[in-house]
Amino acid sequence: MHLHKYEKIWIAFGTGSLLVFLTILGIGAFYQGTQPPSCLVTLDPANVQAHESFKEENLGLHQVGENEYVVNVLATAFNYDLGKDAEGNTVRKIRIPAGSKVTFQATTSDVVHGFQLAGTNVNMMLEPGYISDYVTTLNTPGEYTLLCNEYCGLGHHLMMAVVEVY
Amino acid sequence: MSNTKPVKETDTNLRGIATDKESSSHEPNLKGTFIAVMGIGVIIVVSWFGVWSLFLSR
Repeated sequence: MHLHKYEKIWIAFGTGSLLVFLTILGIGAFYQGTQPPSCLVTLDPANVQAHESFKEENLGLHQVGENEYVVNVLATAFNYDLGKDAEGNTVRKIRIPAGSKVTFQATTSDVVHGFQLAGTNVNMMLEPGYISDYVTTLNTPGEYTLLCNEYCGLGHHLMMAVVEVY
Repeated sequence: MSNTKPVKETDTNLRGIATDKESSSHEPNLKGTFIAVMGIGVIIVVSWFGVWSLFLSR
């Protein structure tokens, strides 16, 4: 088969790019252990309180180490349940010191919701029956909006909370 | 019928440019195609690395 010189060049360029992309993805997946946010950890969506992380008293921000935090979030239409504060008020904003390692664990008890911390890499889909988690280090101080990016119904645009890194 | 157009060694193509029958099968000019293909390729590669660096920096 005869190939034009230019054809050989762009076939090599395309194949080379594909190999570079796949190599980078492979290093991320197999060497650095990157995995999808929902890694087949399941629970009963009709009874999420049965799971330790989503019991009413365990929702919201918890410090688990010197610089380590866990945030348990139960998403429902159209709210992110971050638990209650000491006075019994609903938490709408959580504050985390900069540089902390934070594990976000979230699930939904009704429909599919999004879980995006705008301006960071935290971006998950929450599916009924699955626990999605994302481990990250929040280094840049600021206020980040936690929002739903999967259309979940009429109040979808009202579904938000705030994470402040200080 | 002696006026039948003979198959000549030198023929004319659609643009009327004289071409040699033998060399009319030579390589087409792919310069424009090459520039377009590589241009799209560069856009894809640059945007891929742009998004990747955004992911790494956050």
